[in-house]
Amino acid sequence: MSDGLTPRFDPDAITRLRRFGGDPLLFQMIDLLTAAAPKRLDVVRDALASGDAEPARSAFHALKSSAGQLGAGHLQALCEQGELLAARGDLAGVSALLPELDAEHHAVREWLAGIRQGDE
Amino acid sequence: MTRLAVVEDNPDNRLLLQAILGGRFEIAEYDNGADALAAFARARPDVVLLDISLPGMDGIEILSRIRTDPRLASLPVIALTAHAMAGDREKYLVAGFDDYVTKPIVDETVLLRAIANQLKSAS
Repeated sequence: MSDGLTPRFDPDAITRLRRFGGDPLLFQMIDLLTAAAPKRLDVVRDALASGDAEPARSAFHALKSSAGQLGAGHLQALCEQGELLAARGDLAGVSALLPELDAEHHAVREWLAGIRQGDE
Repeated sequence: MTRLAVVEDNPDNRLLLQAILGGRFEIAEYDNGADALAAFARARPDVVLLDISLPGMDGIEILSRIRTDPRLASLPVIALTAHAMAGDREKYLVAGFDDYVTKPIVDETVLLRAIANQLKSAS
């Protein structure tokens, strides 16, 4: 669990996406997130290197939305935290968040890969 | 068929909206405000779903341009946003949006009702 309220991996979100558009929609959503997430995190790293927080805020915002739609609750929460830190210009805070974010990103990819393979 | 414009930079959100709304409405998608405003000037949609956090021109600025254009001023615009803080709804309504729907979209009936309300008000 991420915060006691939001599941780390929410099977209801997966069910919901299947209801909206079946496996084709679900798999496309998974593919879009798994393709975009590493790029979004690269944007955050580049922002840390350049000292410009706005691209990091925008990348966190986009990844938060994608994670939320797929039910990756903890990744969504971490991205929201990153978005708020970046909006305040707190790049040290963003930097401190990155290890947990990377680990959660990795866990989400494994979870989604399992769903993609029918291993639920 | 009712024409819906979706202004949203995230491809996964556009895909999702297409899946939910595509069978009910004719949907035109835009990933930025400049392209959307140019298209609205050529052909006015019936309802706009407008993301707030867009790169470059954000949703608030796009709305402001719509409201100050006499040809578009009365266009129904629904804010679509992942911001979900207390008071957000009031903030966006005061800014001139006609309604407000939060992402992620958990209950599609909320979105459908918001669109139906705008179509009813406009008719």
